[in-house]
Amino acid sequence: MTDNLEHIIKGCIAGKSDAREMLYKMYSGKMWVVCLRYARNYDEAKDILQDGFIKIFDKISQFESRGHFEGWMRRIMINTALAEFRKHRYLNIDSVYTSEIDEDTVEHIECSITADELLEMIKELPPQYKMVFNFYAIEGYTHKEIAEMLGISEGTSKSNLSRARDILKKKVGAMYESGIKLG
Amino acid sequence: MMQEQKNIIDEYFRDRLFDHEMPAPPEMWKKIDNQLRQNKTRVYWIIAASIAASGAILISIGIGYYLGFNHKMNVSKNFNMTVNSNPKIINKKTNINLSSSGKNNVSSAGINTNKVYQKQNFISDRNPEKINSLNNGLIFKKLVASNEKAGKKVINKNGQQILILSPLKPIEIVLLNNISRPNLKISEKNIDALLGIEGTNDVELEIINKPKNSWAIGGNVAPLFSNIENNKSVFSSEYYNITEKPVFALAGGLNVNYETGRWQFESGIVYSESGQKTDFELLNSSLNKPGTDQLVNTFDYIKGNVKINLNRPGNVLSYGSVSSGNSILNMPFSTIEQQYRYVEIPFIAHYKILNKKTILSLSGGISANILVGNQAYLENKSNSYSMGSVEGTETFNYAGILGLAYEVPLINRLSLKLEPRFRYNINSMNKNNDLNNHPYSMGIFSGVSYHF
Repeated sequence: MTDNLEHIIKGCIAGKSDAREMLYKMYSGKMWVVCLRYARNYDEAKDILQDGFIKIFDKISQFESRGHFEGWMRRIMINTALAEFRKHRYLNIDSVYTSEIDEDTVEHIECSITADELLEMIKELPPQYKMVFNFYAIEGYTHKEIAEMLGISEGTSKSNLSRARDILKKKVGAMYESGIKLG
Repeated sequence: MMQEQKNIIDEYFRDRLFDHEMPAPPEMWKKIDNQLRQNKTRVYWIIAASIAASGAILISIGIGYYLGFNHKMNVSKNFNMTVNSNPKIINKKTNINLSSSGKNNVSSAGINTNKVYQKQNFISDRNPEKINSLNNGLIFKKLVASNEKAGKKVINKNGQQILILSPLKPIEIVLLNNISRPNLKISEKNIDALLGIEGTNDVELEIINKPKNSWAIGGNVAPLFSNIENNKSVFSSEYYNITEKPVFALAGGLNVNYETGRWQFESGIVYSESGQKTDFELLNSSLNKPGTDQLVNTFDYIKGNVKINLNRPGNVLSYGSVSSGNSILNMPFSTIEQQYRYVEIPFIAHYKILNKKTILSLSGGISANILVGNQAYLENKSNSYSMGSVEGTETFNYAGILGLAYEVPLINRLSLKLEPRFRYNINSMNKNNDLNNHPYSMGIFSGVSYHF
């Protein structure tokens, strides 16, 4: 942890408003993307960001300086998103998608799709698929941990992940094909 | 956390999104800052209330301490004297020779008194051994006083040394040796009595502070700061510990105490409340059946498989603040509060670390708790709605108790007790094995005790 960050954290613990604003400016960009990945819509993402930062400032004195501060923040933000998901949980996950492209195609289209477009693809996933994909693929949680967090079985977690991957492959493939046609 | 297998689509998204940044909406910082300022104001109020409460406690302790150290030993009610000769009524200005017995030579100069004393003021022919059995060992000593001038030391027949501080009012003597409280001052009244018996050669004075082994009954109440600690599941417990908040609750009960030496043992019956509050959380599920507006009878809530019965779903549907749809989820800015009510049977041992007129004890013990009620409420700023009982809760559990007890004498046999206590449930309140939930509470019990 840099001296500057340590100084800012101490300022936040002391309740200094300017230190909080500096911390917010440093990390709000990354945390905002986390919120967008998990939220159902734009307004919910704003709620998660607000609640998450309130919790961060509230609990910052509990952060142990040995740990990774950004990881700690990210975990609080994810927990807040998880709470929001549980509050508005929709289990209507009947849609079944099938993959129409193989993995070799994915390797060849990497450069043509922006991060913002990938983010949009994740946002369009059904809520539970989105949670499972984010937890597993982006954050690195295991199926056992995901099952515990979401209150589902490990098998359901694996199944949701597989379907999320199928949907994303299809979307990536479709975008790739439209890019070729436009090109 | 460990990836169970790598997948190209996972890596593709992770590489591009994990550290991706986008500017957050510009108005967000202002909203967060405003909310932080509001929270800060609320915290100031809590701190101010805490300081006021602490001040009140410190002042009461200070007063008790002051009174305890300046309190003259009022032994009139426990004062016993045996007279070996035949006391007579004495008159004003009679010279009294109380004693000159013992191994050492003791002066026998007389003391003038201005009062008439009568035999019936004293209890005579009391069996010293019987009195001794009532004594707690702090003060009990036999002595034979001698009329002497101030500053003189006299020796009684048991070889105990006595210093007469002043033969005039206020008359005080100090027992100088062979006693557990060598600097004890005996009140004027008792010295008057001791000195006022004509022709007494040997006077045995017994001062009993408290019975050696005594009983007390009492009652106390306390406002409690109550919460639930979650452990076992690393991620979830941390999450729940962050999202759950304490509630204020009450406890009170009756107790019976047995005291022997520095130890005091307490039992009784206590009614207590505990619980926690969770903001914006209807965890693990919604109240709706998936994809419908139809309410379900139970749903997972906060503690693994703990469930709440919607025992009056009709009321939920017609709840006034529901703005749209049929779901209670539409109730804005709501919190869920869990409340548990217990009847406890505590067994507490107190060890006195300060054993004077005021008593300070360390306390530790265990209580057997029987769940007599549990309820969950959905609340917002203006309304509170009872949602039903929480299922999957153990009806019997144990709690450990730690604390301090501070006791100040009031009048006669009554004393005031202040007891900061911490109570922690040893076994989980939840039958579910996924997450262990341990209610804990802190509070300052205040009450009175009657000693007999």
